[in-house]
Amino acid sequence: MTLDLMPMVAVTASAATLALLGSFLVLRRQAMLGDAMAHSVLPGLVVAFLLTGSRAAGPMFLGAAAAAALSGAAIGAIIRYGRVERSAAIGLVYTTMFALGVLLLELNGGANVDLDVDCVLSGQLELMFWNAPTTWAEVLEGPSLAGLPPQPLRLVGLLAASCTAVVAGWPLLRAVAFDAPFARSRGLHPSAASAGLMTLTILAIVLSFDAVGSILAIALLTCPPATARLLTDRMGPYVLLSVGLGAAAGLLGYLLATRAAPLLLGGSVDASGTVAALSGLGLLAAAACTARARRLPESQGADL
Amino acid sequence: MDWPKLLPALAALALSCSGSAEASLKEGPSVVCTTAMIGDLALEIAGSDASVEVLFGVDMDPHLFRPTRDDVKLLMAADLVLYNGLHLEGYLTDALERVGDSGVEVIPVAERVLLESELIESGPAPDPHVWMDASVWSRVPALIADALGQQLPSERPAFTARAAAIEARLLAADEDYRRSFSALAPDRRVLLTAHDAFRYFGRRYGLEVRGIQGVSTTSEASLSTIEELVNLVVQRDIPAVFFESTVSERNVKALLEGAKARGHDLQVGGVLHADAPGAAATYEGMLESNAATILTALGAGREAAAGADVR
Repeated sequence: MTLDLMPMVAVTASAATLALLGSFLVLRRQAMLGDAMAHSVLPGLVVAFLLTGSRAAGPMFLGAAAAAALSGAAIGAIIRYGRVERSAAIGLVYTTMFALGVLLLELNGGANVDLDVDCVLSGQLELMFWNAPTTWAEVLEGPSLAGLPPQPLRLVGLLAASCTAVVAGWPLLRAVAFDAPFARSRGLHPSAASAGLMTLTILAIVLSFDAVGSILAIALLTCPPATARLLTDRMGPYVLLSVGLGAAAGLLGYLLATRAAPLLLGGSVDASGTVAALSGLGLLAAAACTARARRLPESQGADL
Repeated sequence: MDWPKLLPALAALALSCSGSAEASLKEGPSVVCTTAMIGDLALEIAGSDASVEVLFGVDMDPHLFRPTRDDVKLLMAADLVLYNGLHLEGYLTDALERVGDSGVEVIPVAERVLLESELIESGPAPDPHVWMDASVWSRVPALIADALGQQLPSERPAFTARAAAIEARLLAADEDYRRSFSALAPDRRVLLTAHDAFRYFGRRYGLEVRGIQGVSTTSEASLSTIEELVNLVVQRDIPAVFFESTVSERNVKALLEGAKARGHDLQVGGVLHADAPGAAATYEGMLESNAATILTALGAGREAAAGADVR
């Protein structure tokens, strides 16, 4: 309980949220966004560090979120006004932001400080231990609640917010994902949907960096949706399947790393890495299965 | 793999493990240390009266440590946790403090023994490499003995006696290094290393210390830093630069090539152990090996430096 409850809550909530929001990114060919954010947050970290003089979690998180929001806005603006492809816009923004961060760091003599994403926002599932109350008396007494790590609660909150937003905006999201001009002609607002989705996604990415580490966040944003995309061609089942696959990879990966590995390898292994590897393997398995099935009917409409 | 079958098995496994209490195999209090520099002393002071575990391996760069669930379990089950502090443990520090909140005695060793006036700042952050100064680190054994004595009062005299023996050894070694380094020619007393880990060492033993990389082992050296150091090497006629066992050799090699291009014969003085004992195996072995390597390379001139251990 003490060691596993909060990491399991965190990894499941984070995986479900990222897979949910990622499923729209994959449809819109913006799957690289997570990777891009891992680099774009650097200037935010540097500015937060220069302003506060410390690497405390709070300011670092705010800095990262601000830089991520700026990058998201910049990517949106470049797509709209620069007439370039989405992936090109992402590539343009994140390299520029990263370079800006390095420059800021050098100019301010901060080269002596560990300030990259892996050091500052490298959440580690294993470190979210919590002395959970074991009896009702302890629950009522309440002091152990003070020792509750904040990340899992934030992630659960964000999961709830994302689910609500997706359910509420479902018709809009579906229309926007396939045919934005058509959606506009029907009186819908694709740009509002894009902005809302981008905001939630950026929040989810930065929160997940802080809670479960950047590699895992990037993997969970892309692998479950890509797997689900291989398995179904219908929008509703695709999003649901993506969320299910993400949550399953999170939970199973954590159990494999901390429960099965001690039996097989003699010691527990890094949980984030196992979850990421598992979701990658899931994609591989789905690709292998569907490749065989697809060879039979020659041309099946691959577009949703 | 057959997931539908594996899933209930895993769930059952999770349930069966979650309730069990972890009991230490050995008698006496259990101590967990982060670095070998603390762990070696704790092991000797504890003797057979307490069990001591060290989290960071002897070859491990502490910046790259990723705790597994086993490590966290070890920390939560400990009676006493000793860590360096001064941000050496990075993001692990928060977790260590939370372990402390859960009722385990947690002590930041370097922060406790170092006087405020002795702290070296590196930019806005404190420099954590306190163990490089043997005179400061000689205060650690008494601290450990006291903490262990509180855990197991009946063995306090034994802990104190063992600690006193280590303290005497460290002070003798410190005296020895001071004498040896003061015998070097003053213009030769420049220590060029891969990253900034030797400032406490340099201050105590009278060497000017220049790191190529800054404190972080992950950042990259900028071109201007390399050029500045090449100028320094040529102007001051510095004979040797040193590798570190836990840091990449790339930057040192850049410096070597820079000096060679300017016609200066810069040698590799050998491998120093900064963040972990590495091949030197123990903390005291690491001090000894570092001092011998530096003295040979800077002291005896070109011939000796060329003959030193070159990787």
